[in-house]
Amino acid sequence: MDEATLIAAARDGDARAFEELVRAYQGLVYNLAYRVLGDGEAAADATQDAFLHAYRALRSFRGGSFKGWLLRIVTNSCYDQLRHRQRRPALSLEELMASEESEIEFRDPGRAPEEEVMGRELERVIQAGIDSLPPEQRVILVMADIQGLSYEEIAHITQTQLGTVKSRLSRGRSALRDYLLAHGELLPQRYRLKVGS
Amino acid sequence: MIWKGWRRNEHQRIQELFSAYLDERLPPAERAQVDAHLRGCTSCARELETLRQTVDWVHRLPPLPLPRDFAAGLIPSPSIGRGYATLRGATALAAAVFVCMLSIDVGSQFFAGPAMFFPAAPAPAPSEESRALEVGTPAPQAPYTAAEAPTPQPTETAGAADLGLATPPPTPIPTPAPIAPRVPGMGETFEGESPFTLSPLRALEILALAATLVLGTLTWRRRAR
Repeated sequence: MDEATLIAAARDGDARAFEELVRAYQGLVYNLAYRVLGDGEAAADATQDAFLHAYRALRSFRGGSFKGWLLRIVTNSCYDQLRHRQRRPALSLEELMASEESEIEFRDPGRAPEEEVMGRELERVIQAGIDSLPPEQRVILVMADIQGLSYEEIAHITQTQLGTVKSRLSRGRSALRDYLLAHGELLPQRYRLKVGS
Repeated sequence: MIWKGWRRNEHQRIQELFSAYLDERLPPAERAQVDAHLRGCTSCARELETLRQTVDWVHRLPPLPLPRDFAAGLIPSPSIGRGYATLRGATALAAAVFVCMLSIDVGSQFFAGPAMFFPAAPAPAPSEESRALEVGTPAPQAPYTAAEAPTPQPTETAGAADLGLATPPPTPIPTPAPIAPRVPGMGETFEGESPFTLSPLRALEILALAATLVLGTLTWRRRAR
């Protein structure tokens, strides 16, 4: 069954059709949420909220890119989570350790152990760098460089001008590069950025 | 001084184009400007290289496996919803039946008299006479035992027989009528009767209460699913 048929069936109340749509997009949605929020549990909550919201709002979907519509919903869900996090007190040490332990479960078991460790360190520092960006830059950088969306798609999803997307992406990438330069000591030697003299 | 400020602004302006340059989204004229600048500026060339490396690393971040299937249990299926509604209705019905039974039970006890709730001092045991009147047996004239019962003595009756006179048949002593068992009232037991004897109404009450509890538990578990 193609996507348009599934959307039409789901809009008519077919729960199974909507579940098919969820299974088709849950990887994309969860990865966006995880990279924007930097936390697996919060990302799972944002993903769940986004799909529930999408199911309730399906009748208001006027066609076009379903993927874009869904990513807009999960982006808003991520902004909600970030606002909620600002109101919450900082994580305790136990919670931080628990979250790091849970992250280890996500690694690729196919890689060689040394590569695995180095890649994990690099990924952890990159994620910390993404987390340090302002939310608007973070969302656009994740969409462009992790999700591989075009400038036009990002502008449509975030409902901003193309020029805004370009400038935010540029500033986000530069800030992430500066973060990696500043935290080079956290990275294995081969992953350290070199500016030169 | 003005020249140095212009040069710094020029580097900055070029570096701001690097992101779109890497994505090949620069118009040809601007791309040519960047290329020309890079040929003569090793500092900006290194800046571009570090930015390219950063973007490349971010591109290579592996996709994260899902912690769970988000489609499972997202929307309750209609069959679960119908089952839940049926259970909820059955629970409400059982509870209503129980309340009705309990009301009837309590009401019948209340209207049976205040003695049900405020028992008075035990009434005196019925006298032999009243008990005899109640069961329809004649009261004995005088207390005596069976052994002492007077045997008919041939008196003038025997003499009458001897005289050829007909003797009247002996008057039959009326036997006591069997006492009809009295149905006890609600919650009332006779002395010697088992206190665990249930009236039909009380049995129905217990049945309705048990049904309410079982159905309520099932409903709660279905809702929590």
